[in-house]
Amino acid sequence: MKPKFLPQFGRYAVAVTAAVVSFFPILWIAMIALKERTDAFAIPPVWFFNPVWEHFAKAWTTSGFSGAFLNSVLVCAIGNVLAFAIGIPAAYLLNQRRTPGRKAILVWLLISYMLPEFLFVIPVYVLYQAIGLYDTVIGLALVYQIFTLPFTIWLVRAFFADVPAALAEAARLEGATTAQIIWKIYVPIAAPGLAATAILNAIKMWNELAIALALTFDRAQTVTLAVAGFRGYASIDWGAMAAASIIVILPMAFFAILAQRHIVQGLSLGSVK
Amino acid sequence: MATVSLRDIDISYGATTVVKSLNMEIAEGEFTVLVGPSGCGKSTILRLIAGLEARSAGEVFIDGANVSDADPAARNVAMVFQNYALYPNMTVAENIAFGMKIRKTDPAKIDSAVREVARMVGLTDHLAKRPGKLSGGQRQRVALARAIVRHPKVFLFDEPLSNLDAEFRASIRLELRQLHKSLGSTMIYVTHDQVEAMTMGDRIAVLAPIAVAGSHNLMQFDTPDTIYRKPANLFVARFIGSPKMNTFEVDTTAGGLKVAGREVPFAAALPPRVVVGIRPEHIEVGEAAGPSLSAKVRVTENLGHEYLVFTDTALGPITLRVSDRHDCPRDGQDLTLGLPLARLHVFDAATGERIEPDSAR
Repeated sequence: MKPKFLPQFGRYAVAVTAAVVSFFPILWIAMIALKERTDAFAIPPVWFFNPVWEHFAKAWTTSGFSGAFLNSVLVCAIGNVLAFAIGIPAAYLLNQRRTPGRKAILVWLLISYMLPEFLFVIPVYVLYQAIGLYDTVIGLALVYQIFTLPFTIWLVRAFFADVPAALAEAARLEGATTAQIIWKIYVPIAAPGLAATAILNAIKMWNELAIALALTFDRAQTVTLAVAGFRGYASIDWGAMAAASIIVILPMAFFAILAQRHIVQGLSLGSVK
Repeated sequence: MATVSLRDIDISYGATTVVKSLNMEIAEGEFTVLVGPSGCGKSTILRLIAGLEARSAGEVFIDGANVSDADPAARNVAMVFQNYALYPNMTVAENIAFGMKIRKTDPAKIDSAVREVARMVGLTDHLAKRPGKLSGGQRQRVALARAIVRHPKVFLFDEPLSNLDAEFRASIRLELRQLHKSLGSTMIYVTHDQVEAMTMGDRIAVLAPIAVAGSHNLMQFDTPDTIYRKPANLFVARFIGSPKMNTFEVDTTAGGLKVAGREVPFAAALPPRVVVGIRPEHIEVGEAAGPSLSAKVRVTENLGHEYLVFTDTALGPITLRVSDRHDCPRDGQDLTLGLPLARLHVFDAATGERIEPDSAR
């Protein structure tokens, strides 16, 4: 077969352009993080320089940043535990034809997922002030269920739908309860898909800024707020801010690569009979 | 071991009726085959016995106890599914042990029970493998082992051989029969394959879709011999047997039937129109003790041990089997076909019900 040069070339050209456009800002931030302050804003830009690591050390030790990093990890972990504790049984039941009102519930979940998240901020702010959840990690993980829960239920439902119904029936005949069917059969089989869902949830919660800004003050600050915090009243510490940004991007970039593999695996689950 | 009774069962989904007025009494230790074309409700009936399907009316008894509303687990029945329904995340041993683990059986007991059934079905070398690594036949055995290990009152099989290739199907068929003999359990087996039905069943229940049958699904419930030799109605006559029974509609006279312009005595009270049937292997080439008719050979098929001869006659197309002891008729050849009187089946053209001559009553 003759190689079709032009279409192939066109495809690569588009892909390379997209990659450059999306990676260039990250590259630029990485360069700022690694340059001396004098080189950072030189015009024309300095492309070759001796990297310095002091900005990273400074960013990590700046008051609040490591604490915010831990807060974000906790919010993602608790947020995912909550989403799966509720989402897995919900997804299973919403796949059962005999569950009453399942279509309405699914549409309702989708609509609530589509609402602008910031809509919830003011009432929740008042509520949290009253019940003591303002500026807490738990409070944030809870309010993030606004988007993680519908997303989790929809995705897990799709992964569960790939599990043949006969497996649940066989288990029922052997005396398994619905909970045992879910946790011993559905969850292990759909594990790659659940992992992908958890990672996508974590990325979304990790990068969230607006709600965290409104519902935290200092104790429960997350990484996105901490990065914004390098912008002082009088000046901006560009080097430390850039270094902090890179630190914040890295774990999620790592997870994104993982998720990509798991999602492909998860989506091909149905073909394995 | 247990009896199974289905009494006045109706199953419908909304406006669609799948099963209607079903009554069956299955004896202890019997191997019963439910057979019929798709849509006849055979799998639905099996799932009803298992407790996986809800009924609209009627009652289900297992071993004399009314289990109509009992949980599937409480019925103590085991089911082998068409696609085996093995848990892909567990090894063969874990698949077999799943039910016992759920019931918190002592681990030592589980282990010995698993080894025992694995030996029975020939899986001893595969206990640590996952189902994905097994062949279709081996998966079938795992499904079987999972059923056997529970010592259920009733085994239910839902077309378990349909995913296997033909050669393997024949050997598993035999193994299942032997298993039935050695366990002596009540087994109910669903298939659309009449060969499986004829070879495996102590008794066969032939089912028809409600859309075809009208008032009830169960067309006949009897031994393979009776089903084949005395089909209760046209549906059974045409469904069991391959190639299927030749049938043609004829008028009746005061004393019998009018077949091919000849009056054939038949001592019974007859409706004005009847359907006469005769199996392909019962037609003779040449005259016989009964009506005869001339036929022209359209085409023949050589099956080695016999020939199938497809002919056209004044009564319509007629198929016959000719043993290889005779010469195979040529295409286009003119034949005289003899229809032995004793081999004719007569059905009421209006109702499809079998009519027996008075002498046989």
